[in-house]
Amino acid sequence: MTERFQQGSLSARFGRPVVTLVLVLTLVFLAFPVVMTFVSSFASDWFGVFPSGFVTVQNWEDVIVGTGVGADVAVGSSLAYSTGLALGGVIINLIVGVPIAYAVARYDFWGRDWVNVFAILPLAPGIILGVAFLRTYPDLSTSGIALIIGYSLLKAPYMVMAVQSSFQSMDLQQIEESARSLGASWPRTFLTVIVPNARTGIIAGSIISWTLAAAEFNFSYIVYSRGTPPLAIFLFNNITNASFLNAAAAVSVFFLLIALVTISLQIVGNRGTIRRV
Amino acid sequence: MAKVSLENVTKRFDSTVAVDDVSIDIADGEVMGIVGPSGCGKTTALRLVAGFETATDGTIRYDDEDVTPVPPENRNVGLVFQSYALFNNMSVLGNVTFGPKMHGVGKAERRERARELLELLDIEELADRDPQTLSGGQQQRVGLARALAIEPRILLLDEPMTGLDAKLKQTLRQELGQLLDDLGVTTLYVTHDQEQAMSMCDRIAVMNDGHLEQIGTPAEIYEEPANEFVAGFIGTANLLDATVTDGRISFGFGDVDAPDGLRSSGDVTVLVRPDAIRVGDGEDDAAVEVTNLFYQGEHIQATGALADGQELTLQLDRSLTNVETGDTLAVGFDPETLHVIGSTR
Repeated sequence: MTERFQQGSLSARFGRPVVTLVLVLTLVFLAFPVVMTFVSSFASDWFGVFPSGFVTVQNWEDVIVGTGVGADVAVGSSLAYSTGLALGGVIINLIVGVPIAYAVARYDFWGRDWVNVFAILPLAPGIILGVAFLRTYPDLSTSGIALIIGYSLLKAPYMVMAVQSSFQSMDLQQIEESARSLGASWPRTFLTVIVPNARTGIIAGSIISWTLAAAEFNFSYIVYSRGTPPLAIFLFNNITNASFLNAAAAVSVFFLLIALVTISLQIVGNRGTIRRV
Repeated sequence: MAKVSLENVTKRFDSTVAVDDVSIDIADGEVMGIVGPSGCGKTTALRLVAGFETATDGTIRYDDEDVTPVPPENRNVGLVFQSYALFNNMSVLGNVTFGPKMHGVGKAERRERARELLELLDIEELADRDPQTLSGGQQQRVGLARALAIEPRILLLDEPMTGLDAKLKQTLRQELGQLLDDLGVTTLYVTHDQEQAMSMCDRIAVMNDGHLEQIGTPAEIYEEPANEFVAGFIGTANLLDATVTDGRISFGFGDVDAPDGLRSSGDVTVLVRPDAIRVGDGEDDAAVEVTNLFYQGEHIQATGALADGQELTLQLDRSLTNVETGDTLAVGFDPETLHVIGSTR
C-alpha cells in the first residue's frame, strides 16, 4: 500500500498529461477549420489538402471592394448594416431583457414562471419565427425594423438568461434595500447599483446576443426581401456564387469582427469593474 | 439620532400574522435588541422600522413624527445586513460616500466624512479596495461605516455577525458595543444570538410567534423572565414544579425558604439557573443522579435527575473531573437566586 502510494497511482501519474492532451486535441479540432479558412483567404489556389499560392489579397479585395464576384455589394455596407441591426436588437434586449431578468430574480409575483417562460420561449428556430413574423406583419418585411425586432426576439433568451444568472448570484433584496435606506430612490438604485453589479452578465449577454444576431441567417433569409443584404445573406451569396477562397475572405471578415467586438466589450467590462470616487 | 416608537404595530401577510400588536419604545441613543427564534417576527419588526414593510395596524414614530407611510429612502436609517450587501461596483470609499451623495452632501465633505469613519473603524487603508477582496470582518466594518455615514436617526443591525467565526465575533462584539456607546446612536439590533444581545444591548425585547414576550435590561430578562419561554430562550434554564406555602417553596425533593417579598402562592414554576446551583454538602441539599456530562472548556455542564424525577442542569467547576455518569451529587439553591415565573417582588 505504502509502496503504491509512493509510486503514485496510474491516474496521479498520467491523469494530468492525458487530460491536457485531450483538451489540446479538442481545441485544435475546433479551431482548425477557422484557422484554415482565414489562412486560405490569402491563397490563390486550393486544390488538394492544403491551399497554395500565398500571399494574395485578391480575395479580400473582391469582398471588401465588392467586385461583384460573390455578392453584388461590398462587405462594408452589409457589415455596417448588420452591425447596426444587431446593435438595435441588443439595445431592445437590454431595455426589455434586463428588467425582466431582474423582476424574475428579485420578486415572487403571480405569473412569474410564465414571464420567465415567455422570455426564454423565442429559442424557437429563426425560420419558424421568420414565417410567423412575415405572416403577421407583412408590411414590415422590407424594412430593417423587422430584422431588428426579429433579432431582439430571437436573441432575448441569451440576454435574459445571462443577466438572470448574474442577478441570482447576488443578494438582490439586501443590496437594493441597503441602497434605498441610504437615500436612493428605486430607479436610482436600479441604475446605479443593481445594473452595474450585474455588469458581467450584461456584457456576456450583449456579446452573445449581438454575435448571434449579426450572423442570424434563417430569420434574415425569410424576412429580407430587398436593399442592402444583412451580413448573413451577404456571406451566403459569397459562399454560393463565388469560389471557396473568395467566400473564405468573406467569412474571415466576420471572424475578425466577432473577435474585435468580444475583446472590446471585455476591455470595457474590466475597465468599469470598480468605480472610483 | 431619535427616539423610536412602535405603537401597537401589527403586520399580516395574507393569513399569517408576522408581528402581532407589538409596542416598543427605544430611547434616544439606546441600543435595543430584539431576540427570538427563527420566524418569531424580529426581522419583520426591523423591516417595519426601516420602511420596507408597511404596518397593517399601528404606528411607527421617530421622535414624534409618524413615519408609518414614509418610504425607506426618506427615513434616514442606517442598515447593516448579515450579508453586508456591499456594492461591488464601487470601491470601499465609494460605498461609504454613497449615502451622503444621495443626501446631497458635497463631494469634499462626503469624502472627508467617509475617511473619518474608516479611520474610526480602523480600516482607512481599505478605502480604495474592491469590497469583494475583503474578509468578512472587514466587510462588516465597511457596512457599518456606510450605514453611519448618513448620520442616521436610527441604526438597524440585522444579524450582522452571523457569518463570522467565533473568535472574530467576540472581538467585533466588544468593538461594536464600544462604538455604539461612544457614538450614542439609537440602535435596533436584531439577532437570534441571545449572548450577543445580552452583551451589547441596553435593553432586550424577546419575541415569539409574532408576540412581544418581554422587554427589559439583560439582567432583568435573565434573572426575572416573565414566562417560561423567555426563561428557556435566554440562557440555560431549569424550570421546576413547586408549591409556595407560608414563605416556603416545596419541591418534590425538598423545600427552601422563598425569596424575600415573593407574592405568589400555590402551584408555581421556579426558575433555577445552572450557575446558581451550589454543589456541595449543605444540610438541606438534594440528591441528583448524574445522567450526562459535557466538557465545555470553561466549565462542565451536567444533567441529572432529582428524586422526584425532574431533570436538572448543573454547571460544574472544571476541576471536578472525577465526577462520572451515575454519581450522585448533593445540590442546594440559595433562595435569593430563585425566580418564581410570573411573580414580581
